[in-house]
Amino acid sequence: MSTIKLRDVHKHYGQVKAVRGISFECADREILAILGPSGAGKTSTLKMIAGLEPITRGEIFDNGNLINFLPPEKRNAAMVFESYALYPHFTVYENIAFPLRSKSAQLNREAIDTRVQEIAEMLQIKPLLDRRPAELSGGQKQRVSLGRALAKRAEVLLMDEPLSHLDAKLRHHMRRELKKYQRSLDTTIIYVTHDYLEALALAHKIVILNMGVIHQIGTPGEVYNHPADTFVASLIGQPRINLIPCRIQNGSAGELTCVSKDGSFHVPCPLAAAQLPPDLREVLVGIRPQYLRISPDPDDQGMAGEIYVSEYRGTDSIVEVKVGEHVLKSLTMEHDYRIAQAVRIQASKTDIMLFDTDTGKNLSGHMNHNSQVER
Amino acid sequence: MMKRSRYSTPKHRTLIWLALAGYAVFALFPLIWVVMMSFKSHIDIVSPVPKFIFTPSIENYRAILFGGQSVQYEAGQTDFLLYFRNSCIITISAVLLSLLAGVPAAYALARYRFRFKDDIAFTFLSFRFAPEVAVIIPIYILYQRLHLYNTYVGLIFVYQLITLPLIVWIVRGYFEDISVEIEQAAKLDGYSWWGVFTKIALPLVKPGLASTAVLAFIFAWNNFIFGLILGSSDTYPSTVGTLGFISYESVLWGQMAAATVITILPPLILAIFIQKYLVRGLTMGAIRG
Repeated sequence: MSTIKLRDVHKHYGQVKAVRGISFECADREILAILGPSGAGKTSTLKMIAGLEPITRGEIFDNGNLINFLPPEKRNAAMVFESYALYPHFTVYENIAFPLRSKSAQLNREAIDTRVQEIAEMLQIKPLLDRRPAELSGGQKQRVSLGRALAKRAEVLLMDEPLSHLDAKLRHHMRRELKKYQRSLDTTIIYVTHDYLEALALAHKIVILNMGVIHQIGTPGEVYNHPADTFVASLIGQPRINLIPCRIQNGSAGELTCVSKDGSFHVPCPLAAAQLPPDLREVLVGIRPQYLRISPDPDDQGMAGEIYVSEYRGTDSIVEVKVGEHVLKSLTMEHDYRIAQAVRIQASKTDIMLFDTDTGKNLSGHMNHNSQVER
Repeated sequence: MMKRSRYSTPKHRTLIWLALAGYAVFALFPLIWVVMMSFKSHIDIVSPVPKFIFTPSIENYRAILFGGQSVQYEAGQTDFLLYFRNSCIITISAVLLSLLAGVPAAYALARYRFRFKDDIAFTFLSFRFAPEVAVIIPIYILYQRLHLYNTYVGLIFVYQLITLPLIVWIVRGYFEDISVEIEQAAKLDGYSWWGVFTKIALPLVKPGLASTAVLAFIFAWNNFIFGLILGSSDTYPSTVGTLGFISYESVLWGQMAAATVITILPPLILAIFIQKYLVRGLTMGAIRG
């Protein structure tokens, strides 16, 4: 049983401010993902929770107890490092047994052996127990480092990009395994990643971090469907969300319309005039590629455009359509488009998001910072 | 597969072989000569025409190791065994003391950020490039006053100028090569600083530590001037003791050569044993994986 809470935590390295006042809470037995690009302060945050980096300012609590000054060996946390950090002079067996042989573990030889065998069984690394880390492949090293972290049976498991050095297939496999273990282990997991798919697939709650500042905290559904700002919207989703600078105008039928500068791009405004801040004229219109529909019939409704480039991916295609001076990405099942073919494109009102041009904030306003975690 | 170099034609290889052989003869000839000398009789040694063919005898070795009639000249008597023992005591103690003080220092310089860190590291290094004669006179005067002159402790202490910088600088490089995350992992595995240091950091630098210690031993063993100035006939190391074979009446070349050969042996044997690691030890830190 462990709840981790950060309150206004800062981390400075000399002049460099890696983390600038972040607060979040990770509930017991929750998987919390910290998602962000490189240099966002993710690893610094994790190492502060582990006690490996001193905290410049702020407080970290474990079950309500302040742990700022608790040394790492006394914390109830285990960590999987991005570099795996296996002990090169130990065998796999000794690596996994090492946390069990510490003074605080207080285990006898038989208990240690039982626990190591148990973990080796679970992670399917039994045949590797006598090998040294230099003789292991990347995926095997990853399993061993996970095994070492699990051996301690800590209440908090910290994972720093544990899958980033694996190839795509193995990464997908390990992602599933992790989710499976989490259920059987009943641990709180804080998981750092730059891969939004990993975060969406694994986490109950996602903290989106950039330049040491939190942009949004929410469930995977919330951060995907209701991104707090353009940064979150662009970070999550591949291909990236289309963002088009527009003006809000009164359309011919009296309804509000978002129109780009050259007039070629125009979509209905998803918000009523009363919902919009007064004096707002300039906005960024965001449409996810899968919501941008292409019709090959040039007489159909929507904006006129022409196919710019098309990338066939098997299950779907990424089609880029040129509308005036804008190039829009669309994700579609159809793939028999010719370059320069004239098409019509449109998006429904409910799939359109509006962002503030200056601050990047989502104007749709129905996203929720502290919603309940879905299990 | 090895890349075939353009220097691998038979002609080139012969030339390279000749050049290397030439250098080997140049470098090894004095050594071979002194070994030959140690097995010659006095008459053969002083013969005006250098003799390559002679009847070998172990008389010189017998004389310096067990004494005997060969030591005929009163002034030429020298207690080689004592000096050899002095060398062993001073050098081994100096290396052990350097390891004790130098390994923690190397770790601190490799891992921690503190004020004057680089200045401290540089000061250690500067001991190596200051010539020994530059400091020997003040040290001599200090030693006289502190009653360290002609003592093992004094010599072990002054030998730190040779062994300590070497150990601090090379071992620092080994510690820097250990990933910080490995030590962090050990901390999270429930080990205190001391546990991490003894169970992870030290075992990982052990091979490097051994070769560095041997290197320091060789440098210390070969030292001449500290023993000459700061020691006396009780504490001379064998490098200085060998001079004792030179007397007013005669020079006992044969015994001197035998003493030299025995003195060379310990560092030679060690160097051969750790040759592989020695080269690695010296280039370590220069090359980063």
